[in-house]
Amino acid sequence: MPSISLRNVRKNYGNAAPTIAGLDLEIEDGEFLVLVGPSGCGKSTLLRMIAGLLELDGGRIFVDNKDVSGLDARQRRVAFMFQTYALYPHMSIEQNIAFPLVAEKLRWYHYLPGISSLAIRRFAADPEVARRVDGACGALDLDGLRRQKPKALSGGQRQRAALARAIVRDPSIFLLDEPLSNLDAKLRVQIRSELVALQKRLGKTFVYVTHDQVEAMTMAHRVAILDRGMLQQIGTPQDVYDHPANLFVARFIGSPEINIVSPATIGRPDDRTTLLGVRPSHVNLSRDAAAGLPGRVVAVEDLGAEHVYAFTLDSDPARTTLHSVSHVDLDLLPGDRASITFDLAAAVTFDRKSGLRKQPAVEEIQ
Amino acid sequence: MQTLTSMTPVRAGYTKQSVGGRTRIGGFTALLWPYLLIVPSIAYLVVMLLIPLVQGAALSLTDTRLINPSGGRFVGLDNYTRLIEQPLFWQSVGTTLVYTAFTVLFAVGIGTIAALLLNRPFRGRTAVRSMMALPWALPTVATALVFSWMFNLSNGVLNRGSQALGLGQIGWLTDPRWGLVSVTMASVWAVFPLVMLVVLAAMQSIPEELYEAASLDGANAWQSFRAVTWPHITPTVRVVALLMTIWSIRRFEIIFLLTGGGPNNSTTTLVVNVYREAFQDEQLGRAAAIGVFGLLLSLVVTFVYFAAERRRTKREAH
Amino acid sequence: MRTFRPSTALRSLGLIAILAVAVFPVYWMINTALSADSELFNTGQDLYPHIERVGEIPEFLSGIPIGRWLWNSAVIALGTTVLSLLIAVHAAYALSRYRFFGKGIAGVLLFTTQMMPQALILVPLFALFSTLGLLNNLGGLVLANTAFVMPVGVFILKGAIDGVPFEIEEAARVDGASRFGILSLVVLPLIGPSVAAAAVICFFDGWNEFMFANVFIRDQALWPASIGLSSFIGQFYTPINGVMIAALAFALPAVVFFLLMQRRIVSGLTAGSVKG
Repeated sequence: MPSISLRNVRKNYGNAAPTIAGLDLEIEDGEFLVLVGPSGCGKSTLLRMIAGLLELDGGRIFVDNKDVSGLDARQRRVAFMFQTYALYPHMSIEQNIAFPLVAEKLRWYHYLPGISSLAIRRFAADPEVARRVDGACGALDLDGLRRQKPKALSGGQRQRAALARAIVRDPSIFLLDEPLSNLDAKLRVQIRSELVALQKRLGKTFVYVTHDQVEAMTMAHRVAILDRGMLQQIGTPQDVYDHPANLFVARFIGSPEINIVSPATIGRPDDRTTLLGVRPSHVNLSRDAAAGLPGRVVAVEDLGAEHVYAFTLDSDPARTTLHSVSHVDLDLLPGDRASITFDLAAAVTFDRKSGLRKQPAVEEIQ
Repeated sequence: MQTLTSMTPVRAGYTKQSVGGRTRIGGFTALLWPYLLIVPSIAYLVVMLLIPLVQGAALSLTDTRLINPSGGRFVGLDNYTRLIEQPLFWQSVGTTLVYTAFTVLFAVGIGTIAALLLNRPFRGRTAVRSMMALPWALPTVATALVFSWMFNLSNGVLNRGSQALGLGQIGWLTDPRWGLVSVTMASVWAVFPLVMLVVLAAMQSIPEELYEAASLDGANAWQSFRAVTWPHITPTVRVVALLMTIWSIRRFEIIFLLTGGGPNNSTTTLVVNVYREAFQDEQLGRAAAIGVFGLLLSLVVTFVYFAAERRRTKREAH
Repeated sequence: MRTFRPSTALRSLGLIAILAVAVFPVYWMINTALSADSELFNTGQDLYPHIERVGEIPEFLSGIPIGRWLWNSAVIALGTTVLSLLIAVHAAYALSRYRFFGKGIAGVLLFTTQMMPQALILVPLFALFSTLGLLNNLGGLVLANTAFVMPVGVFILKGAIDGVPFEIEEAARVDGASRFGILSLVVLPLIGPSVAAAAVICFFDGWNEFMFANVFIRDQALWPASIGLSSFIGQFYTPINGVMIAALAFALPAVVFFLLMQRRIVSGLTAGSVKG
């Protein structure tokens, strides 16, 4: 049963192409869905519309089959993690975490002069509130930092605090807007797995926005790829990698980028309507001249466990840079000549004009 | 295996029709919210300022007198034509312009220099800054009283000093040649700290790296001021200058309390003129006419300012 | 060991010069207050204040209703501050965060009020207050002052609210805070310095109030200190040193208030930048 349902959702800013164009999306209950795409594709906008922070210009959003399109964020009971954490600078971590529990209890008369701080204190002293705050702090290892203000915390700590604030209300939906962008690489990897573990433990629906396809591939149950406000493909990471729906998805997913070649370049029959996509791991280089197509190595990246070779094919007049990944050190240097073979068993065929994947796959080429 | 759940043309266009239309969050009351927030301020200004302004302008078309504020016959533009023929009126216009020009010039100049001097940290800087801001903190009437005493012909400290130096007495507030100078001096004194504080705030927001880059390029103090400081504070200085100008056209207390408009009407600015016409000559209609002129002058100044701004931004865009 | 640079000397010289000019009149006020009549008019005022005469101050002050005057001034100043800020903070928030029809006109209106000569609306306002029974009334003065100083408050506060990152407000929305809650619990605490700056400006405007008070107030008992002090001008039976004492009494609260708030004012004038 889908937990979140987007039907023909639209968003316009200005007169140019819409930011989000008639998008449909079904998110399953309890899944970790990653919205991924290049900058400006509308993924953050979409997330904010799910949260109730932005209005829809068309379409509807349903949560658990209830139409929430007209509800403001405060009525939707979702948790939102911001890229900049958005902790309240003037409150302690404790107060930050307690805020969601206290804020919703305040009524208009509590805001009369002088009463608000008293009301807040009374609500915060509620044992239920204290229990939840303690729980959240404990779960995210924040007990030593409770009294501090956000500016005294490191990036990773602030992130945990923001997360604690998010879970304290026990919402059913978590929305995360590029939460790892501001962290250094090592921390990013560590927190990535912590987030996945957290989602598993809580069993809630996570909608995670990122521009980093590595995060998408490693964290998601399903990946939804967006480009310019339109959904390109949705599927499991393996699905999207092995069977990209179009050229955009094929190029966006996978690092280094997939090799897109015309069949003629690699010596295959070419009716000028197709393009072939071959993953770098399915391309082999060797010094042995007889082994394959002649080409030249352009750059080498030695990552220890992997070796990435950038090369060009002689048969390609445009000298497009292609990539090959090898687990063995091929002892090739930039400028060397090499022979390239393409393993087409897993190659993907695309229509040259529309960019869509052609089905069936590769039999006819072989 | 799920591949597509919606239309996914890679390069295709977008459909223009929308299903469902715009869904407003929070319903109708959400639409009202910004208006609720701003209405008190606007209503307040309309009632307390705009309507009286219109009434004041209407008053300028009558011959109302102070003893009978509600009875007054409509006389059309009589008051205005009378004013145009009156040399005192043009004198007050000139006085206003001269007063404003010099006050703004010196206040902005000294204020900016003071800000520049305070820009680098040094021991006791906060204390120095506080003391430099004293003139602004001092209430206007107190300022008028002390300057009035300092300007006193025989016993004021300035004249005692000038006598000691053999320069004789200066009629600061009694000599028509010095009246405006004295009033300008007092005004500049009272007002420059505000310029200083605002410009200082702007200067302190300039990133240190720019100065470092400049000194690496071998710039001396003057050059780094011209290249780094000045471009950053120019917008602030312009806004402050505009505000100072408008406030100078409006300024009343210090002038009135020091000289009452004299000696010989040499310090009668438009506003002082209005006050005297209304409460000493008891001609409310004519006073209102002068007031309208004052307002027009401010509007012209503002218009010129914004036109210059627009031309500047257009020029910078190229 | 810092090398002697002419620019540092020049700097110090400039600072001393401006400082001297700024401080001298205040110093002279104190000096005059503590001088004897005879010096003032015959032998010439000493350059140094006679501190020993401080004891005469309370005696003099008891002769004039300075307490009442200061009280009236305080009522006007505080009233203006509270009313102006209350109205201004809401207008500033609307102008900062919302797009709505008439926003431009509202902004222009707020600005053009600064150009209005008080004298022009003096008479119509007199008539208005007359019908409303607000003449001869401190509340009426508060209302009149607020009209002129509130837009300045809006200007300062709007700049400050612009500097609060919008994401923090979004977080509060998600956390369940009402719109008003966001304003008072999240935004307002974060623009504290600017509120202080605006408060000082409003307070000074009220403390300095003269023209309206001069025309609207009949009762001597309702005189603010500005009017009370101005009554000394031109009359001869109060000696100048006494006048200076009264002037100092009038100036002291304003100066003290300023000194207390001054650090906040400076940071408030930069329309604070907040990092979340």
